[in-house]
Amino acid sequence: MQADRRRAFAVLLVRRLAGALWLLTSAAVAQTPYTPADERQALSAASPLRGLAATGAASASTPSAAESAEQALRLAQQALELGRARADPRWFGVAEAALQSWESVPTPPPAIQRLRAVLRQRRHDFAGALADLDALLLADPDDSQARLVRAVIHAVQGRPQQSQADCLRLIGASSLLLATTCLANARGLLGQAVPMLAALEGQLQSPAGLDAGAEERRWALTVAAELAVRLQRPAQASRYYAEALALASRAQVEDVYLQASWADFQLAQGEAARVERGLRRTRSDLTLLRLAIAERRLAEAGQLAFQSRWQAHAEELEARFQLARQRGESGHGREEALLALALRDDPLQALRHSERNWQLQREPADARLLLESAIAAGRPDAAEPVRAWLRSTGLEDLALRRLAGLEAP
Amino acid sequence: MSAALMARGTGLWLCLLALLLPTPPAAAHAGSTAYLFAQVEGAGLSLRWDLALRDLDLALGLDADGDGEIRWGEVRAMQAAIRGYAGSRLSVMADGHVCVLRVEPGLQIADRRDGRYAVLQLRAECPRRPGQLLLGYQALFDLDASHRGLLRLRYGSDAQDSQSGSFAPDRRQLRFGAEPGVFGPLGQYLVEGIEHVLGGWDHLLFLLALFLPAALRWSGGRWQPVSGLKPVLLHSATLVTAFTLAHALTLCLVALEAFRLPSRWVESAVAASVLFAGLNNLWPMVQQRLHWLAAGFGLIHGAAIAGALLELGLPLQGRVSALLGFNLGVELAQLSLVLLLVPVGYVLRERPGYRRWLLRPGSWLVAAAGLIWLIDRLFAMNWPLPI
Repeated sequence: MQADRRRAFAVLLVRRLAGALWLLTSAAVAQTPYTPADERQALSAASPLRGLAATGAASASTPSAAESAEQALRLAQQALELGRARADPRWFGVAEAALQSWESVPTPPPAIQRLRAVLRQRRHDFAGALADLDALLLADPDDSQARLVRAVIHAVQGRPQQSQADCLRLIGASSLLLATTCLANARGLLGQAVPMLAALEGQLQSPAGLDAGAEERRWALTVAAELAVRLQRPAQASRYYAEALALASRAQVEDVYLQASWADFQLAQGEAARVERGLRRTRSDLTLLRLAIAERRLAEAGQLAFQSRWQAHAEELEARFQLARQRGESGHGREEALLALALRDDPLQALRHSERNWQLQREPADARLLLESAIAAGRPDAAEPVRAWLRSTGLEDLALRRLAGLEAP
Repeated sequence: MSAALMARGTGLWLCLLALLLPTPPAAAHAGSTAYLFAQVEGAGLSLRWDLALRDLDLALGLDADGDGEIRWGEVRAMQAAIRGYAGSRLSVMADGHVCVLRVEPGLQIADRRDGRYAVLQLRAECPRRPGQLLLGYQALFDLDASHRGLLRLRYGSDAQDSQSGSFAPDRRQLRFGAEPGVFGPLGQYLVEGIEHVLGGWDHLLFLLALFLPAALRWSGGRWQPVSGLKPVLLHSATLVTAFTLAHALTLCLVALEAFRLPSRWVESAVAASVLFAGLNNLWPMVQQRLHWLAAGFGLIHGAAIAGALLELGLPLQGRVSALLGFNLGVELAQLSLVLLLVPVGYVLRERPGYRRWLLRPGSWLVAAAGLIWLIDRLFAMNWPLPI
């Protein structure tokens, strides 16, 4: 026992050292400045919003308040659209900068406050986002956009009842598919997964649902797929995932949340090779993490070519999270916990990250991470908050309940 | 029903649905980051600044021909604008003084994980070797609220000895070096005090004049050797301590701006004190109360150094500990000189040659130097003399 632990520690230490060396050398190589030989050499793709300094929010001329609000809003919307389509967070920073004149204004124009709420939510300032949304809904209870955003935040933060209340107000104020998706998302956390999945399936097959916008339908399919996974209906989940992924690729949108959700489903089914094929060229944190896990499984199943690949990807992710910490970002808790648990064999570290993450986000995925980390770290009592949450919500995630040692609801 | 309601301009909002799902803030690529490596070198700071080409493109528009690619030729053509942008978005202050920032000519490229960066070399010239540094950073915050400037600062050549920080829209200044606590300025100014004694010729010559006859006593119209090293060392230590105490008194009064003396007169008085100390060895005028003489000179030297110290930029917080440190440094350096020089004088004191070849010529030298300084400072001759 003692010897085992010592050996595990030694392995960990060697890995750490190797990782640090790799980082040091790769950083040194990559950073040496040079002078390109060819004038025509393309160094970087140009920004679709060229020379913001000259045209955008930082304009030298002083337009009227209404004009500048209009301009800022347009710029922020353009930037958000770019960030969304390319899964590139840099554009969210640009959008925020465009709105920075309103950053400390308590009640900006509603259109600006809505965008501000979304941006705050993006950088995990949930309290700031909720303050904006509460103010918007107080001024105009029929603001269905603010209603929808608040419903999603409540669900993400583990308040399904409040989410459900907001979703109910969407009925009649937005498309039925959207309202149903919102409700399925909330009530799926409240022990209503079976009827909500049936309702959602019905809406997806209805003429209006089949006719709905691609974004709307993709969200509905993602929620349906996750419900089906929790209810252990893999064939149904596969069908939803396949259509959602096809919609995203047709729209040339990189929906990293959807891809990661699909990969988790496939990994749970033991389909590491399929995940590796699907995500081979991915760059985003969420999907790179799943790719590395798939590669590790393949390596351990005897395909040794994947050994160095998964290790390099794990180092890459570690370097990214370190950069994020240096930048003072928070909100990588879920991914950092998964990295520590699945790739670093460091359950104590995973437990620390997932405990911190549980304070911010409380979805089934967050609950699973905290449970798995606590069990792996030999401290199952640390997951008591998850058990309490499972009991109070009645969540029908059979695998999660089994992990928590609870009966099916 | 739904189609009609959906037509009310919620298109963008549905697009945003994907954004609401729980992904970390920087899901795919890193947010905009610039890297600054700063090294204290001589009287200033040498900096390397890596700015992402896509960030510079956002700020300045680098794709001149609009083909969607930023090419090396286009970057080169914009060099002046890029250097101007960088130069106007960074500031360096050292010990309360603005340092002059220069962006060196030339620009290179570096490959990083998230794309290519322009590498600029900068130099900040400060009045002297920086102690406490205040760096101000303004790049890109007006265009990208998620921009961060990551800084690594090294004071010495030791890689371990580096400090780091990150500039953000709500943190546009970073302070490094001596902490405004008690130990920081104390230690820093202690070193200043030691350097002041060992680096200033007037101070050294004055001390030399005091110590040359330390192992001798003037009695019966001639220098007599003193027996026993202990009284000699004690006597010398009393002298330098009297000097330091008086020195500390005026230094504190002037540095705390209780009063200010015209520097020309103070500097001239310092020169006169050196002249007097030399002459006093040749034709002893004051011997019994030599410590009072030392104290008097201490007052003058203190007033002189206070002006210089004020220009050094005394930190506002911790002024008292800075002054304490400086005076302790002065005392420490002087006592070490006592321990170093006085025993030598003691060993040699019985030799007849000591008086003839060391005491007399040395005192003449000190007196001459004092006289030259006196004339130079009194009449503002601006001769190129060491201080």
